Amino acid sequence: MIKITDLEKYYKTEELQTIALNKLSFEVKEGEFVAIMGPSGCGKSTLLNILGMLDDSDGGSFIFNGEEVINYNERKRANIRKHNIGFVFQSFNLIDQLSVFENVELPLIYTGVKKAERKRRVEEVLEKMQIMHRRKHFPQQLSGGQQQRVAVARAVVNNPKLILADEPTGNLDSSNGNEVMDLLTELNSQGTTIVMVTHSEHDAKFTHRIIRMLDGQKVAENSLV
Amino acid sequence: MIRNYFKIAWRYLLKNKGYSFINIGGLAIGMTCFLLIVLFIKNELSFDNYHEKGNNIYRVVHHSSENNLEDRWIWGNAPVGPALKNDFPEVIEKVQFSGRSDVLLSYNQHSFQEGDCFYVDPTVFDVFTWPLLSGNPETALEAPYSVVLTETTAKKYFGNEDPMGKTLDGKGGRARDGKYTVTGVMKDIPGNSHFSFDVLMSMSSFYQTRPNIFGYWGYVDFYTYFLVADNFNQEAFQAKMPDFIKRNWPERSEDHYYDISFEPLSDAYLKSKVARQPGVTGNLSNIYIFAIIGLFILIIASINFMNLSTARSLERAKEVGVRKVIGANKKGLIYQFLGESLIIVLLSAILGLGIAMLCLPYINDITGKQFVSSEIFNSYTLALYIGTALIAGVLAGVYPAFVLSGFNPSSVLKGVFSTSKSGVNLRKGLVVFQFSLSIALIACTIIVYSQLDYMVNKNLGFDREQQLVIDYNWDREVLLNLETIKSEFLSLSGVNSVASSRTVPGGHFPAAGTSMETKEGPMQVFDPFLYEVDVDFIPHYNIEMVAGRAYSRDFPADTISSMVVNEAATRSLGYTNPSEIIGKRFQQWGREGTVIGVVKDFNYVSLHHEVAPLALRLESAGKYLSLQIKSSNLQKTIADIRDKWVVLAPHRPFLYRFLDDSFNTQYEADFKFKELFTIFSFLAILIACLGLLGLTTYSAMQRTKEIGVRKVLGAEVSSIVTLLSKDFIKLVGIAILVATPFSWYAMRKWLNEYAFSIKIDWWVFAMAGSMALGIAIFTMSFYALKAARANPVKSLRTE
Repeated sequence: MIKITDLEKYYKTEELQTIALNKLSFEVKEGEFVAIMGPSGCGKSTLLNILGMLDDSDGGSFIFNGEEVINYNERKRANIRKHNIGFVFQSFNLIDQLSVFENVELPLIYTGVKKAERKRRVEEVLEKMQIMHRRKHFPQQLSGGQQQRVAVARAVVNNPKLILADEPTGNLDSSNGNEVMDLLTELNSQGTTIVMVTHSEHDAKFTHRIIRMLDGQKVAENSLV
Repeated sequence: MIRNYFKIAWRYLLKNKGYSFINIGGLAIGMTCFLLIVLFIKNELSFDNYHEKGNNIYRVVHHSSENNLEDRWIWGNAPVGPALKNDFPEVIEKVQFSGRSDVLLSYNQHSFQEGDCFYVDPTVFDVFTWPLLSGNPETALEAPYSVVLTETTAKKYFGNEDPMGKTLDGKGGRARDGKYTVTGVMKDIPGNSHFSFDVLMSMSSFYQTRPNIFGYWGYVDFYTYFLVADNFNQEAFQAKMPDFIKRNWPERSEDHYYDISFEPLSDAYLKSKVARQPGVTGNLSNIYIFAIIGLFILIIASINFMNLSTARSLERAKEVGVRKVIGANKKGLIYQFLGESLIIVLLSAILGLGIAMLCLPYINDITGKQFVSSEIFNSYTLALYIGTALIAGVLAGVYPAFVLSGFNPSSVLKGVFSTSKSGVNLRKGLVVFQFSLSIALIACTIIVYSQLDYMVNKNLGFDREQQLVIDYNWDREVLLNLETIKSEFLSLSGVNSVASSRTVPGGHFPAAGTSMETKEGPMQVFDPFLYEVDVDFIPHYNIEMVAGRAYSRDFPADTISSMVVNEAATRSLGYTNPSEIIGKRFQQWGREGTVIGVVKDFNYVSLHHEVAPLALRLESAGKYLSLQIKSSNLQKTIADIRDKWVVLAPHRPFLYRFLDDSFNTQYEADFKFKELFTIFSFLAILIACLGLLGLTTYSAMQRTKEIGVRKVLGAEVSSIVTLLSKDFIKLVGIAILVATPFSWYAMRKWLNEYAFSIKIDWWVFAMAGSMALGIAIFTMSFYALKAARANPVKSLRTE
């Protein structure tokens, strides 16, 4: 599903250039659940942004679903993104002015799904995330765990092939964190590929494989299956 | 999708009430000003456009010197009218009005002195579209002593009676006293007319009384309008004039300059620069000024909108990031934010419309116009209004839309967010621009105030305080007893002195064809203005003599062979020293003799005009009695004078006014201008301040953490307020530098319209700048203080 080869990314300021990704290469197969770990500043988030086509790389190759996407413009990337990729963030990133229902509905609006179908699918996924009773509430009215469940619901409502999760449990207590991990595991078992950045060895244990990074390079890979 | 955008926009508005208030309120006030200014300008431009044949109506401009614009008059001789019609087939019809007359009209118990009467040709209703409610427009004003009244005037005399065929007793005016038969009632003259009247009397009444002046090319008392054929070519027509004048006025002497030109009716109100108009004219530059202010206000309000939306982008950044992550593209986001701008603008437009309607009575009061709400809902005005709102919305919305939609989702969602340097600079630039406009407006307001203050208080060269002026309008019985009446008034303890004259300063006066000996010897013909005064007038008004002497009872010959002129008259005849003219010969209106005195130039007309040559001719008959009264016991003195008047002239109503009031009516237009200017400037500044308030608020919010850290490290409230205000104060400083030359130039041009004007002092700009600075600091201190006083623990925790 994902194949990156010699991926490079630099951050430049006037005085110095920092290497965020240094000729990084790995592959993620369809249906895999992969954790990316490493200390702060090792390039995990940069990698995730490039995989999510939110950011450009400065060199190398990125093949997504058999397609070289490295030189795609913003419009093309937005198009691949909205049909194939769901995001889950540490800080949830729900839109405060929209209700739970409306937040989850948003990706379907962007992919042009008809209204009745949207309602059906949003309700289905809210049911599945056990957050249906909160559908009219606004994000500020929910607990952190509930907010992250809404965020996961929003990420999966379009049935993406790939979910990119950036420390999804980072802002949650352990019981809420476990709940979210259970959700992700279940999604994966239903066939969704997941790439998750995490600091937590506990969370990493839910995955199939851990890629460990340091200074923009892959330093180790442990298979857990 | 659109519903979703709308929902978000609406919820943002509700959530950020302060921001919404500033944005919508500021824009709404801006839109109100714009709308009112549009109404005002539309009205000014609509003058005389209701005449069906308006495009074919012209009027004659008489020139008495070649170059001087002040010597071009609408008021002129009578024979030019019939001659034009007679000589040129393209002149289909002519209509002439006499000069404005005061006539005392009486019917049974009702007796009023009508100040707005004209004697006019019977063709008037053929040329102008002034519909008659009763009477035959073809013949109504044919017979001598026929009169047409406006509806309101007719009501005043006759109430619900039918006025047709009734007679009014008329005294004064251009015709001998007599009984006028009402032959028509017309609709009131529309407010957008370049001159207006209440009573029209047949020109034949005037003709019957003084037929010979209708043949004199040198006698000035008529306004000549004429109707031309569709193929009329003004230029070609003008070329025929030299021959025309030679042919019709062969006896004109070589040194007597006379020429005529023509003005289309459509230019009469706004574009005519010539003097001696039949009514008050408008001012084209005022229209430009208000158009510019209207635009300024709109720009200031739009800049607020732009600035606030961009400054607030921080708050919307997350939303943009999330939308992009789940598939929004840049174009869609631009549409979303543009759409939001349009919603805000439309809300403001609706609110602005409401405010404008509420303001109408007030605006009517100031402008003296009669705006009604239906004028707002006129399709043209409404289309212009909505169109402007939409353009403003798009222009103000484009920049924020591009900024917001351009955010990189990966960084904004991480909270790594910095406003770009160019964005900050643009915002600063816009603030400088806004404040430059505001400071310029403040400076202009100060200058407008100073000029008007100067006009009202300048020493005019005569005593205008405590002058009570009685209008007796040439009344025969009064004239017969004038000396008795004067001495009766003088016997009152409250009266210092009394004089009689045909006019008083600020009032209407004629000019007189006059010959006077020049320094070189030969006689020169010129047309000085004419004050007919009695022997007491010059000392009564305390007008200074610079050479020779004033009229005196000790010199009986003064009544037939003496003349007093002003300095301007001596200069126009080539004398460098006024005393040189003493003893020189003059001829005027059948009188011959020598010049005996020169008065210092006094401002007998408004300070808009230079002091022109003036002859003060001794004449016992007049129209006004001026009484200088003591300031103590004013009410009692007036009552005493009234009591005397009732005994001395029981048939005349006691009509009086104070000279300073009547003199200042010449400045009515200036005062209206001042008031409108002040209001709009104030609003412009208010809107600019709203914007500044919004910007400081957001800049303080962005620096909440910095403020917290500084306070933890020991910063005092004052130093934090300074920190927050410093940047903006710098901007205001730059704005002062930008505004000064701009407003100096504009005001120089404005003051040029006054012959007598103030000098623009440097302190005006210093004062405008400090006022703007003061207002800015005051505005900013609101939030800056709040931010500085906040508990730092809270601000740090939220980060």
